[in-house]
Amino acid sequence: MVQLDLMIVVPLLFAVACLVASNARASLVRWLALCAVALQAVLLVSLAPVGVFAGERLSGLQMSTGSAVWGVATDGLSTPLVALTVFIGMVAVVASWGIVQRPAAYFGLILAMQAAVTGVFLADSLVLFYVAWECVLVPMYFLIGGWGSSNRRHAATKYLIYMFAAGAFMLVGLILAIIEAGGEGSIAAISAKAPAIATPQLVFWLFMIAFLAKVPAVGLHTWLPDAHTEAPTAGSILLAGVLLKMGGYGIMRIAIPFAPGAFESARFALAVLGVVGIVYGAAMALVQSDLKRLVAYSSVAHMGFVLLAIAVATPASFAAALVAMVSHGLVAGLLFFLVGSLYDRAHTRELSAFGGLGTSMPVWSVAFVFASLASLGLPGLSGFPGEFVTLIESFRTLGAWTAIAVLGLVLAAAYNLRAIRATVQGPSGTRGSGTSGPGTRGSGTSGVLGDLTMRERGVVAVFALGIVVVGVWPALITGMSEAAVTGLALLAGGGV
Amino acid sequence: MTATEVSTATAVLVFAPLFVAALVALAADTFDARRLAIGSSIVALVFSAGVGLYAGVRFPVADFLGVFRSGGPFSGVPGVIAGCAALALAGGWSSLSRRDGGGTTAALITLGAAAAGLMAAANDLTTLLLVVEMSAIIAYALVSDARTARSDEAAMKYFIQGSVATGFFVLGMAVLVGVFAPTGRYSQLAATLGDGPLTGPALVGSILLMAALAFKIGLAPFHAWAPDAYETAPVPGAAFLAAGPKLGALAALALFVAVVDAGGQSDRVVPVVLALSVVSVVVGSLGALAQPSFRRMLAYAGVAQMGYSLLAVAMLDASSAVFFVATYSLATTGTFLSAEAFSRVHPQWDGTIAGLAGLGRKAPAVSAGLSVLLISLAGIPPLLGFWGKFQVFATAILGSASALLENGSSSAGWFLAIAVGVGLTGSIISLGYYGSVLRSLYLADPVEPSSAEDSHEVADEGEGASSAVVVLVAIMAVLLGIAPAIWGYSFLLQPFIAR
Repeated sequence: MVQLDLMIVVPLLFAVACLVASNARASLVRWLALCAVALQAVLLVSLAPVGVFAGERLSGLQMSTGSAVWGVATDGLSTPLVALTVFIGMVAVVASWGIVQRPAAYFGLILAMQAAVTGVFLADSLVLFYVAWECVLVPMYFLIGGWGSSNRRHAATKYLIYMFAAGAFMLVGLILAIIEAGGEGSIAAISAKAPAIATPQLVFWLFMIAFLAKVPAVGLHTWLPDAHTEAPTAGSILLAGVLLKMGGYGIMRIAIPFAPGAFESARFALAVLGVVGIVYGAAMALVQSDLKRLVAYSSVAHMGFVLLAIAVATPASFAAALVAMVSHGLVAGLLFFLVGSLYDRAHTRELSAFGGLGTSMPVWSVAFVFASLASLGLPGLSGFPGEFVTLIESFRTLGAWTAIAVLGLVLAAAYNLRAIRATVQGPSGTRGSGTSGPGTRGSGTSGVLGDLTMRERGVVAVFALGIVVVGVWPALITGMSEAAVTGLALLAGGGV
Repeated sequence: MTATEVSTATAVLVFAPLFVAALVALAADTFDARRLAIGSSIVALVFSAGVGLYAGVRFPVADFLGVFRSGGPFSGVPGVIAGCAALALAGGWSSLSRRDGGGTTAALITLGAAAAGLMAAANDLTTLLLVVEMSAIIAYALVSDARTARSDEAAMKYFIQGSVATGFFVLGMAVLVGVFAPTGRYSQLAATLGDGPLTGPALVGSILLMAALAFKIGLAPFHAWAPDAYETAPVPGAAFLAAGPKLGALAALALFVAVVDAGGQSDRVVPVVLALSVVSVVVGSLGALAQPSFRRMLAYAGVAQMGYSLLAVAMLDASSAVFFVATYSLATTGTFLSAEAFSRVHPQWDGTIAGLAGLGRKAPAVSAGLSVLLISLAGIPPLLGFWGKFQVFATAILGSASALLENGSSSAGWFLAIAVGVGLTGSIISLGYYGSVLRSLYLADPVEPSSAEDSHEVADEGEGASSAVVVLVAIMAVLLGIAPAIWGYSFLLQPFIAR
């Protein structure tokens, strides 16, 4: 299926085109970027007749040389995340429509990253997986560093070095895996030969360090608040929307199949990490005064659920992990988009500077309340099914102690409602009257805070649609992934 | 044609044009025909690079003149060296063609490429000594070529330290030739030493010889000359010195280690190589982090990079080591040339990394090219440098894994594993110093926005050969980095595999 290869190549070509067209008008560049992502979507949909959305395993072009590094494939595990990547990429491009500062470079970087992330989810060659994994770093570094907010240089450098260091462990792990599996280069082939891996514990943990840092698990999460907060809006959307998913995907695609035994012995530790992440992330979100940082920490909590779900290792929990990842991509993407559009108007993200936006920005407020409800796991929205199933399954298989994770849900309600109260509700006096205390820049502009534009409303509507669809009909994802997660659960031997 | 005839013809085609072009350049320079001098040198170098790479991929290894070899890596490495030298000269076209004595510089670089290439091709200790000395003398001349007090000082330091290194070489050679291999031929040396562990005089002689080559490569603790030399030499000379002789000498070292450890059972030489690697990575990485000057940072970074390559040397995998250093040499040539491009765009540039602030917008092409090259040097995929590093680390990890898995807890395996760990740590640190350049170029605020007006005029005139070559090298790094996706990464190793 050449479409799979093209899904990586097309954004790359368009990225080059954007850079070449750097002297052209900004409008040309953003249309180029939109075309690239739209083409990706078309390519993905064109695979529907051969069953891509039914979870079929499809392979890309086969290179004639045996040792070729290129090799792509998709199956029920990859397809939902590829679809999420295309969706988020499209939204991120539209969300950056108004970029005025060096638009060519900006969209070029976004497209390069889009290609790299798609490559991670589609790679069947282990080396290509690593190459794509690391290719994400440099565009993100420049996006944060070049278009971020005040503390951007620090955040960008921290992100780059943190991720590169974590990736170095994976490099060692993948070389070991390739060597010990007898020189096989394809992920599927190494998985099939997994018993031949002589040092499964070592290989497993070398990969896990890179994956856990990306998820992020508590302890390896310290890059996240800075990077998410300082990145430009589209950067945050992509970071939270798809980049974090690379970690969860990597565990399911590589770490478990390569070393099921090591995973079995690590399940308890991973579950603890997940639960701690849920509670810690939520607790940290509760005390943030910066709205964007609040959303960033909520990501730690939500990805904790993903980690817990993976550690449970039943078919249902793996499916729940996928649903939770897609859901978090949509919800966090929407929240970052809303926070970004608020920041564009008020030039501050301090919770204390807002209040009463329900009257001045009604559409924004409705959207924000909606996104927050999705984030706290309201049934019917996308946050609910994944996390609910995770809790049930973990309670069933790992024991009652996992009920601690419920505390995270309570805290999630608390921080989301706190954010709503501080922005949407409350006395509009702090902002609306224009007589708020000195030092809040919002006070000067409060009178002219306009509501969302039509373009922004479109973005919100698309996100909202996705959130409702996944919330009401999670079988859309679980149906796709059924075969893949069943095989994975058999391999992992958990959940009996 | 017989193998020997092919081998001789190849070697003649690779090296003879360089000597001829050097003579032509010297002659032309006396008539102030500098463009002719540089032009003929570039043509000869490009020709030699083409023949060398072709022969490296196609021809089996064979003797030539009795004291050299050609075919396989023995042609491929000289080919890469000639290519780097051609790029250095092409990038220096504007400055050299304007400067008095520019033709002589071109002649020196061309001869230097020949000498460095012959280091890789030498098959005999005496010959190796001769070509190492030839290369060293050319290097002293190239460093002092700036004709400033600082470059004279740097050249003098280099010369004195180099003389000590030559002393090591001669001493080591005296032991090895006098006691073990009267002809000095590698084959004889391998036959007498290769079987058992090195002991006594053989070990001392080998280590002395390795120290001399380590000096030439710029490995810590023999690296003290490099930062001064690279900082003060004129850019084309520095670009060549940082690439060509390093590659030649590293190839010679890799061969020498493989010769004295032919049986692969010496546990004496390998620890020395690994120790050199660890020290080089540590000194180079920490040194590079501390440098405010762009070119000094590159010099220390080069020390660390050579340290990584020793991991493959220790595994007796000369092909991987040489391939990695070839990727380094190509990128480094471009990086040094960017220094010239920047000082043309921004004549007030003081040579510091911080001084590059804001140039990302003023000189977009060079900056983008340089960024690609630095990212390649840091080993981030999918650029060329990544495959070099991948190859080296894969070799070393394979070695330590098999040593540890087979013999439980062999100390050699652990030592190798530690060296790999240090190497990986060093390559993470490299993001710090290479990244500081990217930070300056793109993320820092310009220091002096007021002078933007007059520098723009200079930029129009100055964006010349050096910028073009930086961009060309960057494109090569990208294309060669993507190539393995289709043909596999052994594709890039082809010119360095002995057949």
